[in-house]
Amino acid sequence: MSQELLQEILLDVSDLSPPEPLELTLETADRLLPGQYLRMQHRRDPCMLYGNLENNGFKYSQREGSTTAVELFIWREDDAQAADAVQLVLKTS
Amino acid sequence: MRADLSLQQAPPFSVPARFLVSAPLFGLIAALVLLWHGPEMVSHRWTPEILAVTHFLTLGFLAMSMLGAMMQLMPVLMGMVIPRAVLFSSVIHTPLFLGSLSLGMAWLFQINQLFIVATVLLGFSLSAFIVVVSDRLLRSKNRHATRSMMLLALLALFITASLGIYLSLGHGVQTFQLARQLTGLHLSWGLIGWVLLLIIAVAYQVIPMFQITDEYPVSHQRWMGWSVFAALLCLSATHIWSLPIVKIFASTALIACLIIFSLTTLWILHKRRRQLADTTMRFWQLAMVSLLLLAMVWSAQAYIKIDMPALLPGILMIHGFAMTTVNGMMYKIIPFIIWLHLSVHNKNLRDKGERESQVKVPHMRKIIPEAASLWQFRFHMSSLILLILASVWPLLFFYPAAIIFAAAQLFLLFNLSKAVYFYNMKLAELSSQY
Repeated sequence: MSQELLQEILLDVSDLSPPEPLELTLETADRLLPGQYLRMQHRRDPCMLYGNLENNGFKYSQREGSTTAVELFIWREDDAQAADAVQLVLKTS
Repeated sequence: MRADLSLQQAPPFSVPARFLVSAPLFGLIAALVLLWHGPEMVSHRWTPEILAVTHFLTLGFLAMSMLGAMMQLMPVLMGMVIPRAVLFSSVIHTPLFLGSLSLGMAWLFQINQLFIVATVLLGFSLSAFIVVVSDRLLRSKNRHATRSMMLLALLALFITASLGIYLSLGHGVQTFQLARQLTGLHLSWGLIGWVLLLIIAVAYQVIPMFQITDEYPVSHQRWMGWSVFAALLCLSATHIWSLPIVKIFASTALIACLIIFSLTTLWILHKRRRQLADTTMRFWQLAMVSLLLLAMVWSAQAYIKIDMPALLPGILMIHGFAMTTVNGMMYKIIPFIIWLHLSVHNKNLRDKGERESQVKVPHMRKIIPEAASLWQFRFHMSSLILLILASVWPLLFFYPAAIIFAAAQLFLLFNLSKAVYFYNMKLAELSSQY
């Protein structure tokens, strides 16, 4: 559990107006350390973010959130450890 | 590595900007026509001067800004890309600009040939837009209610434009019989079909996004567009055949749609998550109050047969609802695209290792200062109140209304042009670094 917490960076942008969610998510993703992933929570589907993530070498997985409408998991495409951690979270929660 | 923004979905800055900056020019022209002709022109709805002003506003201001806003919003909101956007926007903008000007001039100076010129230019511009954008919307995988409502709005625009061309030919060609009985249909499809449907479609996306509110109820999103469209079809049938019960039913359905949309919007704005009031929100609120007033005026005419000032419904719909909404949206769209494009130019410099050459990108709220947009809102609201009063007491309020309306449009033009100038200056600063 503690390892999972260290791996996960939580970012809730539901109360921010454009372009802050986009800016903040890219900035936070940029600071991800090896093995870490970003769990971004938003009140709506961040349409513009997806292409920007792909262009910057990130992978993502989107699902309905428990506290917000959308939950997005973001990790570096070359980070297998972070990808496994995301898969584990998606399976178990 | 640094995560950066890309412009892959957004069209170049000049695409929406040319449409949005052109709009207040037509607002200003309309105000000058009012000042030039004076209160006699409001003696009834169909004076040539009123028709000129109406088309300067509905085509020059509304269609101009709505087409430009669609080109910006569709890629961003729905991930749809318009191919060769700069060329396409020029092909649409130039004939729309010249056609709107020609049609207004044709009314003002009663020059038959100008009706033909306007018909060709507007027919080309609007049909090209409808065909290309409908095609993109139909191919889109996006299944948001906005998509289907935009398609319905485009169908309504097609019907409006077809009726308009037919009416215009009646003015321009001697041998062509003028079909005055179609005027009501042209007006209903234009204002309720095209304008109202498109604004509702866009509101579903931009109100929750920019005003940080909850989404509109799902049932609202599912039924509103189809209800408005079906009621308009029924109302159209009553223009062709005498169907009094259908007319009452269709009018009641449309009045109910206006009330439901305006009250829902006011409610979700009231319950917004962040209680920060910005100017765009005030524009939305004013637009919804105007729509409610329009529903009341329409009800009074339909059910109690009260005689209302002839121009009052038009003022509430065109100025109070539609222009207010579009004006407010401009204060979100222009700063957002300036912020986006400058951020991407900075990224290009960073990619080249020239971080010191980057320009400072201000916060979106600083690109058009809140105080400037708020003062413009005050002028806009004052002009609406004065225009409403002028529809009842033209001798007293006509000139103050026209002057304040001109000031509001000039102020809007100034605010938008200043933002575009700011962008161009920053761009020049960046270009000198490349």
